[in-house]
Amino acid sequence: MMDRNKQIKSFISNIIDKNYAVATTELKSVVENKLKQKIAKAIKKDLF
Amino acid sequence: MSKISDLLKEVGKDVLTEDSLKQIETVFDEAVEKKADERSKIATEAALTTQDEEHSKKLGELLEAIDKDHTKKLNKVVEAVDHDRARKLKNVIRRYRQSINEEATSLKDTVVESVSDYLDSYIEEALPTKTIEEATTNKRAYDLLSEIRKMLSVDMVLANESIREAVKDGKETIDDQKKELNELTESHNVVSEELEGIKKDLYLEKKLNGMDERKTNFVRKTFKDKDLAFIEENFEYTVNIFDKKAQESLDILKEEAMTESKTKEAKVVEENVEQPKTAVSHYAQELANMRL
Repeated sequence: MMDRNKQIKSFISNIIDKNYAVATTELKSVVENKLKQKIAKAIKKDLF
Repeated sequence: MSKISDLLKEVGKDVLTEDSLKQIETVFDEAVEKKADERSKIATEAALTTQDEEHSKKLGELLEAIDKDHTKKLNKVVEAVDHDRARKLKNVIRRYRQSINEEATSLKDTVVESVSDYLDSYIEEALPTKTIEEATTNKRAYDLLSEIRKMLSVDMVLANESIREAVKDGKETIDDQKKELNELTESHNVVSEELEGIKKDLYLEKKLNGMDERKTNFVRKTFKDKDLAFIEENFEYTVNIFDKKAQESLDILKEEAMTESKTKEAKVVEENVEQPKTAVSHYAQELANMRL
């Protein structure tokens, strides 16, 4: 959670600095982490 | 006044009438009064001027002193006010800064949360949680089915009687072949070793043909447990060493024999000991006793 917030902060700060390439990478990373979290949550459910 | 009228009476008692005298007296009095007024006015003005100047000077000094005092007091007041205002301004700045920082932190957190929520909602819209759950379930079920299929296929093969027999036969054949291969390998190794020994013996026989028995024994002892390549490489060297040592021994014996024969001739004593007939046969006997 803290890491994710840190990444979002970094993303916003890069947007403010007009450092769009790094901002895109940060955004991708945030989205990827969110998807991984969702997948991990889905895996924890029973199969049958 | 009375004097002037008295004087005029005496001077002009025959000329001037009483009225004239009165008029002269009046005019004179007026003139005197006028003059006196003028003079008193001038004196008064002079006195006033002098007083003004003195007062001006004193007032100037007084004003200067008052100014200095006021300036000093005002400086103190200004300094105190400045200090007070500066302190108050510092407090205001600190409070505003604190307030701004708190608000900025709060705003930053709010923005981060908003962005996170927006991303969540966007991901949810683009790739619903239900779809992700379905995909993971499918993947897990596929893996599970693969494992089950693998396990069941092995069991089914073994469960089938005819296939089981074939598998057994195949296994026995493989075991027999392995055993046979091992035996053949061992046999091959034995034959190879024998062949190597025969080759070695043949080579030594060929090389040692015509040499005396001692040299033959020495060479065979030296090359015992050595392979053919080693023997081929070192044969000449070994034979040379043997010859060299034999020559050295022969030289030593020759010297000893010569010394002994000279001593015996000098003593002229007959001994019953059996002597070799010649020096050469003596050397041969000594050489025969030599251990190499």
